[in-house]
Amino acid sequence: MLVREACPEAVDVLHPLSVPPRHRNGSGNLFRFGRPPVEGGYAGASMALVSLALLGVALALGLFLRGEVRSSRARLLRTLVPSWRFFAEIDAVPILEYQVGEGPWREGLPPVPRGIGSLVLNGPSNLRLAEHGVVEALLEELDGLPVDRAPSLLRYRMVQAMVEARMREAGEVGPYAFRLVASDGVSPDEEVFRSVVHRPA
Amino acid sequence: MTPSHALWLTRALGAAILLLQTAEILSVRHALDERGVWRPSFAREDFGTLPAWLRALITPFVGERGFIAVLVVRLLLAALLFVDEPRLFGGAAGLAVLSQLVVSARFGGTFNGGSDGMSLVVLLGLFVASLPFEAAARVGLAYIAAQSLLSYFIAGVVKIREADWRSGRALSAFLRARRYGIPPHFSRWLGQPRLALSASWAVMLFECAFPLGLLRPELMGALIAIAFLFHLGNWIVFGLNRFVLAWAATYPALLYVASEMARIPHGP
Repeated sequence: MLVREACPEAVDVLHPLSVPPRHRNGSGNLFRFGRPPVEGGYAGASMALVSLALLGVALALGLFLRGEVRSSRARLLRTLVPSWRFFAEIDAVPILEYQVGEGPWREGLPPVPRGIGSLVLNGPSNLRLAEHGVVEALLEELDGLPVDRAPSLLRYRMVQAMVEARMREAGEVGPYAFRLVASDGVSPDEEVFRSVVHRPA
Repeated sequence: MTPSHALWLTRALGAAILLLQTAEILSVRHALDERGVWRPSFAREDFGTLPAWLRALITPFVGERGFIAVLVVRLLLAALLFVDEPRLFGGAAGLAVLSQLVVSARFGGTFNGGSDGMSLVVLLGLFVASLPFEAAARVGLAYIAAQSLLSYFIAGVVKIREADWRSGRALSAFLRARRYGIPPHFSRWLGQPRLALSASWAVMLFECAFPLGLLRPELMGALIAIAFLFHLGNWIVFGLNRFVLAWAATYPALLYVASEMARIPHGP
């Protein structure tokens, strides 16, 4: 299910909930505990009610929002209404590799070394994760698409930009191709897509 | 913990989130220039799928100068979050929410996944807390606490339902994943079958048990201490530094809600 299909419910989470006066301290409250209110007692009860309502809505959204998010719009909505399904399943994730001329296949997004300071500032490493996200989005967009239409995809061109940046860093020139290799950390890696040969812009 | 204490701490941590995340993006701004992966021409093309109002909000800030201006404003908003006047810190939080949307959209939807989501939760909660109605602070804090609590609980439930997690196989696989650049000695050490099995169950039980913290503030304090160590561990192993501060910013709200729960009268 795409996130945008579930979006109308998200409005309930994003807009502030008001608590009617009768739910607060004082007479006319809806909470009957059978003894006089202690200081903060009814405030606590209204707090509990609000928390439980928010928990219910967020739990429902978290458990039901799943599946692929293909468009930027859907990804942005996922940021607004997080699903919190971290590391749930072992999925094969695509790894980017590129080849210059007839040379060996090289890692397109090598890990960025990190030190103790990366607890506070870790821009390059987080950028690398965002690049992996683009590669992953490209693989999703390639699903069911004729191979010859791949170069027209925006994320295909973004991946090209990544490869060309790596080539500039390494001082490599010449025609190149890239491929996506599915890796799940369990089975042997498997090539799932190979681009046509390009010349750097 | 009183709402004003919790709110002050959340504002301080929200300001730290804004400062550090903005500094990180400034450090990699080359990725947003005309030769970068997220070059402005790509971004304009990508915005075609966004709603018109959001496109109108974001388009002026796509270019390098416009986006840098947004980042500089975020640094100023971080300072305003410290001001003890609801209209000022609320306005700052509201603008910070919009700027967070601009940053996320500029990176095609999200820059750092779940940490972007939790940062937005914190800023949105602060904005709600500043609104002019009596229960605003409590509702804002409750929203932050609810999302934080669920982030652990849902993550635990979805794991415990997976046979690969229950057998320890999933954790071993994630430790071998090439995308995180995990130091090989960590992969080898934590990937040992018995250790992976124990660590998997420790993570799942901790995450699923997190809502129990609502029963007593002391228990919530203990769970928060474990959670903080858990996020530090994720930074060491997976490099996920943003999650440490984004989740830490929700802990005052969790402690506040747990202490309010403890004040509810029970029994006749």
